[in-house]
Amino acid sequence: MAKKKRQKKQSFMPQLPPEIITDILLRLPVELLLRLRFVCKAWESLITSHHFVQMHLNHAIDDDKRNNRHTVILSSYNSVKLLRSGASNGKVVNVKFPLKNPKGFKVVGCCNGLLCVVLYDDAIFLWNPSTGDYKKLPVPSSVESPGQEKFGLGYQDLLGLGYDSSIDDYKVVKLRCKARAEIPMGTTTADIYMLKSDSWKKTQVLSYNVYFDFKPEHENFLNGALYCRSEKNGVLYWKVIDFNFNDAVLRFDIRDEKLTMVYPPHDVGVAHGRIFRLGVFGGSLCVVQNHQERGVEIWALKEDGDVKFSWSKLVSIPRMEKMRPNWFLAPICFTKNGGEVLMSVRRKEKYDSFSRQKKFYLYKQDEKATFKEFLIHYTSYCLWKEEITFIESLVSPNGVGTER
Amino acid sequence: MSLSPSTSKMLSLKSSDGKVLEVEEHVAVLCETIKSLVEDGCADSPIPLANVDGATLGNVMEWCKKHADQKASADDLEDWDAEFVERDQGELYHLIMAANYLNIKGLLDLICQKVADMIKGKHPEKIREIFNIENDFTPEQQEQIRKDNSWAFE
Repeated sequence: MAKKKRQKKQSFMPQLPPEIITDILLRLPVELLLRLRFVCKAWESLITSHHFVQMHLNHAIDDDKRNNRHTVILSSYNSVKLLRSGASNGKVVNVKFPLKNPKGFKVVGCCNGLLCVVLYDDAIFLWNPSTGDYKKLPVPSSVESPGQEKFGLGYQDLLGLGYDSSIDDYKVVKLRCKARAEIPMGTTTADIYMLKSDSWKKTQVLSYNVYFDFKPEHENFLNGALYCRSEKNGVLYWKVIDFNFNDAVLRFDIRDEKLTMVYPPHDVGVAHGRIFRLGVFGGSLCVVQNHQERGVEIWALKEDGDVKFSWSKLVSIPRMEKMRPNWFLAPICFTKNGGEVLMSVRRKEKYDSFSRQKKFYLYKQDEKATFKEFLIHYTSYCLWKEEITFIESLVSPNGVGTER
Repeated sequence: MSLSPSTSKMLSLKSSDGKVLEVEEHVAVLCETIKSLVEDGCADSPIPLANVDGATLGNVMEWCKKHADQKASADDLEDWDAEFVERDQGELYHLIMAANYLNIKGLLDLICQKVADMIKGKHPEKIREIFNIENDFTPEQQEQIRKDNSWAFE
């Protein structure tokens, strides 16, 4: 034993206190932490503890705010590809949905490392693609209710996933979106799933007559649900069209369970061929406007409670010199301390459809305003529907608030 | 009591191996532990620091001096910090323990991040060596974890 100790003389950390071990480990990426569970029993129980999972998540959120160190998810029909933090080498990791042969799914929400996905048979899952943990949600009661017209644009469900810090729980929100101008404004029922109790409840919210916006060029999640966390609370946003065919954003306060509608900046009218999508830049909900002449503008929403809203322009991206008129730019996220914007570029083809292949570009926000192609390396040929910015975490859909 | 640089007085700190270091008060109070002694009026010199040796104390105060300098820009500090942590594992160990004992959050964060960066990409066996940890799993238990998480090790 004595000899063994002497052999380890060069060992770095003879007796590091547990709180320092924790402080070091919470800075490590999820993929490495999963391997480090093998190191010893003490590390295994530390890494799987609820307390550590929460601390690791908070550190990742701070790190993302300061250094834009997020992962970009490229979601395709039965798998997602992870373009990891910094994404400096463009290496992509493919993660299959854990169910065997799903006919396909769409990502309808993402929050704190969890994805909310809907399968083609309408089953809803929570899934952590970094750890592989997943959970199938029970069926909300409203699905059963007969007599609801489901023709044309009769109604459409908006789904989203958010975190309610006041009760340390995750909520899946399901809203029926009516889209019929003759229905008077009033209240409607939202279905809310709570992860800890694993059940759905109903709550009354203001109803808005909106169309759900499914134009392919928006290339947001099919439902456009984005989750943002402010100092106090989390809010879900969906991109919709009101009954006068104006672009609008529905927002749902995760804690207060209140629904409100916000209009994008009144800068340019629909007549200019404006296209907008939602995104999260610098921690704020943003709308992205694409102008033929002026290029792409990103506007951030500032919120004062849920009554006062204002927009400020965050970034203008001029048109690339070599860019053809039919190229469509979609900014995804900031990289490198906000100095660069990662974006996808697709060709617009006839009948307003888009090329299935995309290229990525990095736009550098300095005086020179340079564009640089960003090569993504993947082993097999792949197509993906959309890009989602994401923070990887150890959060498990099967163990919120409990020790494993 | 004013802690501003212009009126800063000198404090003397005594390390575990008996070395005495004279440090400006506004530098030394970056250590929360020393700051509370000063605020409580218990900072009669020399302040004994039983858990920090002289060499490490010198390094810690060098860091505090740089970070107490109001003129240093954020970029400048970042570059300086990156150079500061270029040390061997032994020195880093002593720094991390000292930063913890003296309660200097900025320095502790810096070194923890450095150690985290160091172990990225290393095999668990190597990490056990670095942290001097015995593997207390039986091969069966290890296999069980591997099975439970097969997706993580593809």
